[in-house]
Amino acid sequence: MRRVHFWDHLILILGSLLMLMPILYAFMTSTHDPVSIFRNGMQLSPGGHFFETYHTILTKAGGFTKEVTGVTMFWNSMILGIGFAVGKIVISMMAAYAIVYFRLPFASFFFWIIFSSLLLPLEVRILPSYEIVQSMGMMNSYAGLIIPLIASATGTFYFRQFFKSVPDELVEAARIDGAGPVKFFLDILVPLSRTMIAAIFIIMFVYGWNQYLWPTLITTDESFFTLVRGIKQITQVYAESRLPKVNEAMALSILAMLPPILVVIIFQSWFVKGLVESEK
Amino acid sequence: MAVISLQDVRKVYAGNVEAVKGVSLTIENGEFIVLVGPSGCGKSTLLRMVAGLEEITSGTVQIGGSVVNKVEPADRDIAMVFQNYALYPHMSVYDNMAYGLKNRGMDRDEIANRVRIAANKLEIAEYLDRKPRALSGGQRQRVAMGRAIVREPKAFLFDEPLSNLDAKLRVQMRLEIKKLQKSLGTTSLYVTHDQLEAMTLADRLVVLNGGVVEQIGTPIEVYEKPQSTFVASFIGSPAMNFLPVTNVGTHWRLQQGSGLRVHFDTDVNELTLGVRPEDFTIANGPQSDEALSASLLVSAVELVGAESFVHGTLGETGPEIIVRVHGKAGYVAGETLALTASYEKLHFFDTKTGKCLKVSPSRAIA
Repeated sequence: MRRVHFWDHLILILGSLLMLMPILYAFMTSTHDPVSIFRNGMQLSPGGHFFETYHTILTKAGGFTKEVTGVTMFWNSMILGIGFAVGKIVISMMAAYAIVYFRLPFASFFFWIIFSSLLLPLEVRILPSYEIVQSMGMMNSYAGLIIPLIASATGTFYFRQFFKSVPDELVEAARIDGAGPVKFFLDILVPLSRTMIAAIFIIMFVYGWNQYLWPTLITTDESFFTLVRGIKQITQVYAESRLPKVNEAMALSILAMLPPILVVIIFQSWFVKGLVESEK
Repeated sequence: MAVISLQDVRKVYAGNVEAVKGVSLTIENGEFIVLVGPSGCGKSTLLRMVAGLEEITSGTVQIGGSVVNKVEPADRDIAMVFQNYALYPHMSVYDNMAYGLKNRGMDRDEIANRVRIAANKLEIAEYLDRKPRALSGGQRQRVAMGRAIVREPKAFLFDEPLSNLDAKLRVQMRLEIKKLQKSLGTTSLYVTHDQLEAMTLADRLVVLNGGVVEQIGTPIEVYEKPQSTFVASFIGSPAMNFLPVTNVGTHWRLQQGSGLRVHFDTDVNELTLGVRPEDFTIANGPQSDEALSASLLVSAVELVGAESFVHGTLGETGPEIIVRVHGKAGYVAGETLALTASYEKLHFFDTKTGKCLKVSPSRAIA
């Protein structure tokens, strides 16, 4: 048994290192100054420029117009991530509620239509979507960033499966207790789904946070730049044959990684609960 | 409190499946009616139509004198207790009980008052802050009852409320439901497939089969005077023994070697004779002047403590029958016993329709 334990742990430790090393690399490098990085390459030891670098990326206005700071980008990413997650949860919960609890004609047909849209990634419909956003004048706005992507087949599917597992007697008890459709949804179904909501929130938040292509298309105004796009801006100086600020790019990457990691750590237990067990 | 009356209530599901085929029934004020029958007999459907959870295809349901066919469940002023309790898992016991009252817009203090009274009555006052999952099955059932009581409804509807409990708890809760219903005096409709539950709880029983009422009556009436072979076999455990008898001109014959001294006028040649297991007497000798005398070839004896069930065949090759004997029966397989049964204990049914036949009171000896 001890042998098995040893190997188990060894494999886990190696796996963890494999996953963590790049992050550690990035973090350590971000604490050095650009000149020493340029000379010595990526660093694995802590350097002395931690506060300096992070202060710079959070407050220094960068980009072409020199008016977007790290904090702005951070908030933009936050708005996008939370807007995505909340919007998708609200929309997909209501869609699933309609499909499961109401006698709609062709309900299952509609469900399968929604479900099969899972097969189509964003990239497939990116041109028509762009066209619509553009024609509605939603370019360079948070609404334009969030609303077109707010429908979620994944979310609808998960909520449908969850609602189907809620016993019918609960609906009937609620009907006898005088709860109409809206009351039942808000008083019973939403609180019951909270672990499911947490799980979907994590998935969708990370998804929204990491969006690159869509924000690049929809926003040209730099004040709407997200962190993920900001990183690219910093490394772009290569093209301008200046000394790239690798430390700042790394710091920005760390910053960009932090919220999704925190969200996962904070909601971890709920996340697992939401996916594996359902409390009924 | 209210009278519930059903007139020719029918339920046809999509695909032309007729679940309830015209049931008429009046439940008096404060009466405890039990709907009993095998699964799929339409008893739950009938209850759900009274509750308003199922649409009524035709016929009318009246609660307290007004037709409620199109009235929403919440507005029918009824309370329902479900088999799996159907408590809201995320709400405390208090909130579970208070939810219906809150939705009615009742005053906060009045709600607290009602919940407290109900909780004390059901001995769940100390659990009011707990979530349902922290309660045992019996306690959950009490909460479900509490949720029904606080509404002070015109009627209680119970849908197999004890089926999820273990045997011991079931007996205990059965008594409590009965006591509670008597003390509140609320009209109640109770659905079960358990004939023992039905017998012990009911003021009157409604035996349903295939969406049709087979018999309505007090438990004792139904037990002693079953109107059909279905009722006779469904109520009572072990079930009633059924024996084919044929008309041989001058008298009715059970089978070779057995005597049946009954006379009545009928134009059919074949009947089914029903005798409850406890209505047989094991006689000392072969001679008897009782209405029925027969021999039983013992095949097995089951001792269940206070009583024993003797299994065997009538004669050597006849139909299988069960005889209930008090105490421990010392019979062994292969033994032949003489059985008798008195005239009052015999039930005659039309073999084709299963309906009970009225036997003429005169007892004739063939």
